[in-house]
Amino acid sequence: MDGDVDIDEPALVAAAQAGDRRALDQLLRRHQPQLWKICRRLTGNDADAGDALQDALIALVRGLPRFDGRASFATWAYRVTTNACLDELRRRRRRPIADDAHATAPDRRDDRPDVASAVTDRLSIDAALAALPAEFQAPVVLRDVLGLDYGEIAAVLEIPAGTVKSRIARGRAALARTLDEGGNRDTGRRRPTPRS
Amino acid sequence: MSDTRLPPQDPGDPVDELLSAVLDGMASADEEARVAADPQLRARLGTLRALRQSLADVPALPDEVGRTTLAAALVAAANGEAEDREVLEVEDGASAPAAPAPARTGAVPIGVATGRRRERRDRRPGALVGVAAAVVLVLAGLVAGLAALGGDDDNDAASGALGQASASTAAGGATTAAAGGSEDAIALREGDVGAATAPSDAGAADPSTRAALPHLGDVQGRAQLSPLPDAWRDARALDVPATACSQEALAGHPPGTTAVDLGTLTLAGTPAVAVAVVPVGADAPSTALVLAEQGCEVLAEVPWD
Repeated sequence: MDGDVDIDEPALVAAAQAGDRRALDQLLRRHQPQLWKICRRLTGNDADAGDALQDALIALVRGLPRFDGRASFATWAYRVTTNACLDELRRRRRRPIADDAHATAPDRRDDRPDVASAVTDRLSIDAALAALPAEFQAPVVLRDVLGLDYGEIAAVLEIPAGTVKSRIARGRAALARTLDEGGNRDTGRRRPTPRS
Repeated sequence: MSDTRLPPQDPGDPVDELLSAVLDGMASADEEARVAADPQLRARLGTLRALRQSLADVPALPDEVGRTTLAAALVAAANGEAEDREVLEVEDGASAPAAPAPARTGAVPIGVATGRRRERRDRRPGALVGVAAAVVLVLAGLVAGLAALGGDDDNDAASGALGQASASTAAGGATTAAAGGSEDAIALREGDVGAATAPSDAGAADPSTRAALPHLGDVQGRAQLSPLPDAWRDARALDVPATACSQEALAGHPPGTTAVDLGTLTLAGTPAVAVAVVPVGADAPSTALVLAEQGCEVLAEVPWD
């Protein structure tokens, strides 16, 4: 799934499961950057992403003895991390929003940027993603951030590949629409939409 | 803005699916030709392509976040069960004396991610407090040694130091049972007691005037300090960045040693850091030091084998 990351991965996983601390360290270090990307995109900010990443790594460590190798370690790690991020988003929804919640959102005027410009704005991307239902966020992030194919995403999210394809298409379209319709205005710190 | 709530069961727009398939290289030649022939579809495809580019441009993993999250996971792996037991004891209030809130919640390199995480530690007591327990135990051992130092000559001062010792960890004001227990458990060997070094003592940084603490190996109740080696190994394995004081701790030690921060504490009202000094390639630190956070004066030194 991850190119050279898979080299010796089963042996590394086995060693880590056997209690080899160096192997565990190496295993986590291999995947940490990719896991961070998931967390950073799904949570939309560094602080929440750090929290989610830590939760994910601890969950991986604690769940490693039960990892049976039927899926690749990467697939399992992405699944655990995605769930940790979604948990973080649920907790975030329960937190109060700062009074200046909309202070950083730019107004939309006649000189508004087009989508091509807007999508290069990191804040806009984060805000638009946050406004997307989680069912669509995760497939889009796994596809466009990690570059997983539909089958891999289906394995991570445990949904049919056809559903993955549909959700990616609709998620992308919704993101583009949000950015194009002046969604910058009120998406600055918008809470993500609850999962249905 | 548009309503982005998308019922997962509803069929999507066929054009969206077409464009997405083309973007992912999953479309047929006919489908690609259809998009190429339509200026509007080409424009929308360009938008999606730009969107994907922006999504892929993820801010880099901050070094500190990388280190601390990894440290937390490895400490959890090493000490998870023991820490969980310790956490239960602390949460149950078993022989845990009330501790003042730490004056400083600064860098504790093992398993602490961010200040925000500390503020929300009640969300995940098992993970965060568990990680913190290892650091607390480390500091408790060091402080207990310091308390024992003044035990014969100045019980009040020693008790004061112990009472004020509060680990600035993710566990916040949590004080372990080990800290309280070690107050009674530690006994000094004759000759181990040196002059207690006050933070303001001008000679504190002079090795000849440092407080000589009982060797940890001779401390009764050593079992309470058992997490110490594991906690240290985690820190070394992760190459925890040294603080200014941990660099200072290397002064006077032979070349080829390194320093590993163990955590922070308050010693007789003075913010301090605990540092392990480790010969490169060794399996354990040779010395644990407590240094004043400001000025890095050596307040105490614990030989360690």
